[in-house]
This record gives sequence, structure tokens and C-alpha cells, in this order.
Amino acid sequence: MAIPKVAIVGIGHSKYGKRGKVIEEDIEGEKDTYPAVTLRELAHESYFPALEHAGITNKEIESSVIGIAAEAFAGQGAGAALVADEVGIIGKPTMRVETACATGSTAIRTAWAQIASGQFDVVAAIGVETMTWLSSAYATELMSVAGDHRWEYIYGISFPTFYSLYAARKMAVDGLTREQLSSVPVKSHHYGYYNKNAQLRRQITIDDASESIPIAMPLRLYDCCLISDGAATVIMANEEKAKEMSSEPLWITGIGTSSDTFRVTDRPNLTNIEGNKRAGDMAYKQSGRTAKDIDVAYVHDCFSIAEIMAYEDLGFCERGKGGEWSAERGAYIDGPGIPTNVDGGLKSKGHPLGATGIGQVVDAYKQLFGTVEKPRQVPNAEIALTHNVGQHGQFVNVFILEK
Amino acid sequence: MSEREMGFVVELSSDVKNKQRMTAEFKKFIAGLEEGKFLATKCASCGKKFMPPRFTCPCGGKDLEWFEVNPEGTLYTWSIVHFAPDGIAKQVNVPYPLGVIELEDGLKLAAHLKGLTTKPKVGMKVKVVPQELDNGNMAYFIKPA
Repeated sequence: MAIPKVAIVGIGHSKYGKRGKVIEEDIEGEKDTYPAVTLRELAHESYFPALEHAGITNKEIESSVIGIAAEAFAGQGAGAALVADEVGIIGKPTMRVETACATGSTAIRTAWAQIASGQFDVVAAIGVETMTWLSSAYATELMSVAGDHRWEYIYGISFPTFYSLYAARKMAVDGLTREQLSSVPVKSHHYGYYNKNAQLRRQITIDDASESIPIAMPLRLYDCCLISDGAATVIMANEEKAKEMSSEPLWITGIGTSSDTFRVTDRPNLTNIEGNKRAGDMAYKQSGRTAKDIDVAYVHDCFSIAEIMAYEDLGFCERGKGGEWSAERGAYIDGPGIPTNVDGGLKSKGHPLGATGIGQVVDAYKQLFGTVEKPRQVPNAEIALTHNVGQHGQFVNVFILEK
Repeated sequence: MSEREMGFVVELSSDVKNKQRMTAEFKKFIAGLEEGKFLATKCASCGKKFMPPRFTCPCGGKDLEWFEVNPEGTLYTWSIVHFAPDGIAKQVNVPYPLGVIELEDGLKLAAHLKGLTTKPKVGMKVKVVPQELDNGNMAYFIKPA
């Protein structure tokens, strides 16, 4: 069941990081806080390199899809209109998409559908988020209100808490250990250290992770990903245009997607995320590939436990064995499994919500064409998988990408 | 029918409250709590049970019947929250423990854990208990059985 041929022909990626805030006094002498970079600067940083990489100008772009997860972070309503205008895609259709932390990959999926349907030939997917000018507690609040107010939020369940519920259950049922959890961020930081686009380039040890401050036990600080500013862009085209404009198109051969229940208590189990499996199976089926064919993977590691569940749900290892697989270096380049998040993942590279899913695809492109920093280059990689999750499985996109 | 809100120590902001305005069916759930009962719904077409109650069934059924759930069960999973979102941190002292209780037929409910004398442990016997708060709201807690 092959899908219409759509390719990535241009990539752009800002550095992810804490771009900071500025505090200014207003006319009454009250102090106001503003983001130091806005959607405007961030969009520029990823869009123009992508356009240049594709070797085209705005004239060839027929439509744009903009991923911004939370307008409250940016303080800008109708952000698509701003971003499209800012980068100069004017007089062409644009739209904002939002699926929480999977917003970026949903922008790609929407652009893909516009091309696959035959409506447009060349479309830009741009993901942008500015987050770090807010306090971590307020940012967590903004994300927490995406849970069910009536049945979850009033009990103080934030996103770290949702994932801690999975971790405690998986420890009891599958025998997941503290050390196995810690092996995930140790690996992410190991590779993120080499990634010039990463936010937190620092190697850590198992003890650093296992003894870091508690956030929502059993999860500790190093189990949790970063809050980031950043942007990423891909330019996408149909087969004819892709071959015309690029000598190195990256083909999307699988574009799986699914969802899961809104409330955590409605899930059939809390040791895996069934939405991950459904999206993964769809992408594998479309591409005719299985986990064995994947040379390099990018999975949504918003929390260490999320990465471990993704290993299992996407078939990198058996269900219940994700912790062991991780501790046995299954996700290392020189390990026995599938190199995973060798860009540093959300943990070390960062997680600017709307950009994250696009940033995964940008790095996958660079991996497959052999242009990442040497210590994190997977040799002879031909096929990549990206996996991007919104909330805790309410939105899932899995892509298979091939040279 | 009850005019009360449901909540824990956390008061919802007026903005959020407005978005979550109570339906007549939901008031019935709270009225149940006032009588010390946990009410769930069951689809008359496919027989599926829902806790928290749903008022339409994904199977297409619109005829859902109320029934009372046995409040005793086991601890399905737990968390101890040390870092709370802003809106909650202003109202609750951290750390606070919370859990998910598994009731009959795999029905599950999330709530704060109270009265534990040991560390929470998956599988321990617990029950869910309704309680009126000082602010007059109705809430429920998971406590050792």
C-alpha cells in the first residue's frame, strides 16, 4: 500500500536553547517581562536556510503550514499569519496546526496531505516556539491545563505527573529499574554533547540522573526534557518537483498517525502507549518496512519513561523489555539495536513544542546524507524513523524516511 | 440536584470554570458523592462501563444507565508530586501523593492519596472516599482500605 511520493527537499534548524527574556519598565515604572527572541527571529533562523538548501525562492512556495503549539507562550494569536508574512510567503494559503507536543510533525503531515492530494506541488512546514521567557512552573501550568480539568487537573496532575504514573506502574509490572530509566538521559546527553544545535551540551552519569532532584516521583529532574526556544523548517515537494529541484531528496515512505484516550485512567494499560503502536504499525505497513530495517530513529523522549515505552511500542524490542534494551546500549550507535536520539533528543537537544517534530526530520535528513557531527554520525544509514507524541499519546505521528 | 462544585484543594480559575460548566448529568455524579456513593454509567447498547461517567458511548449508544460502583479496589499506580504547576503550587503544599485506584471491571479513578502510613505500593488495597471540603466543594480521596 504505497503512498503518494512526497519528498523533503530543504531543511533548516535554529539552535535550540534558552534564548532568554528582557525586563523593561513601562511608563508607570512597572516591570514587564518579554521574550528576548520572538516568533519572528526564530522563524527567520530556520526558514531561510531551508529555502537556500532547496535552492528556491519564496516564489516557488505555494502554501505554508505553521506549527505553534501554544499561543499563550508567544502571546501572539493567529501566529501562522505572522510567521508566513514575516518570512515573505505572502498571498499564499497558510494555516496554523496544533496537536500539543506533536505540533511539528502534524505540520509536516498537513503539508504532506496538501501535496499528496495534488492541491499544491511545493509546501513549507515551519515549526516555531518561544517558551523560556516564562518560569518553568508557569510553563508547566500552561501545559497542564491541556489535561482534563474536571478529572485530572484539579488533582494536580501535570505532564511530569502523567508520565510518573506510567513509570510507577511499569516498575511494578515490568520490573523497570531506576538505573534503566537513567540510562536514557545518559545516552541522550552523550550524543547531544556533540550536536551544535543542542541546548544542554553536557555529559552526565547514571548517578547524576538517579540522584537528581525529585520532580514527580518516580521521575527526577534528569528524566524530564528541557523547555526551549527554537524553530525548524522543511520544504516539501511532489515527485516531479522534488527531482527537478534536488539531487538529494528524502522520501517520506510512511506517514502513520493515531491517538489515544484523553484521560489517563481510560487507558487499557499504563505500561505502554497503544497510540504509539497504532501509528508505528501504519507507517511500517505503508513503507513495507519493519523495525529491523530502521538505521536511525528519533523517538519522543519528553520523559525517560516515554522513550522506553516508544522502544517497545515501535517494535525495537519486546514489550516489557525496553528498560533492559536501553541499559544494554540498544540505542547507541555502536550498540546491538537501533541508534536512537543520537541528536540528543528532547532531553539534551531541547523541546520547543511546535518545532520538535520538524527538528527530528531535519536531523534525520542530515544523518542519512552524512552531514552531522562525526561522533554522532551513524555509518551508512539509509532509512530513518521519527516518532513525535502530543500530550501522553493523545496525538502520535510516526514517519519513515528513505533516501 | 446538587449545585456544588467538585474539586480538591485546587480552585479552578473562573476562566477554567466557565469552560467546564457543569452538565445536569455531572451534577448527578456530585449528588452521588454527597450521599457517599460513586456513580458510574453503563451503555445500554454495548454494556461498556465508564468511570468517570460518560454520557454518550463511543459505540454510538446514547442510552447510558447509572449504577453504583464498589469503592474498594487496588492501587493501580501512584506519583509523589514535588514540582507542581503554578496554578496548583499556589494552593497546595508539595510534595503531595496521588494515585489511580482500580475498581471493579477495570474502572479507574485518579485522586489524591491520604492517610498512607507506608510508601505507596502498586497493588495495595485502597478505597475511594468522598469528602466535603472546607470550601463546601465535594471531592474524593484514595485511602488505605
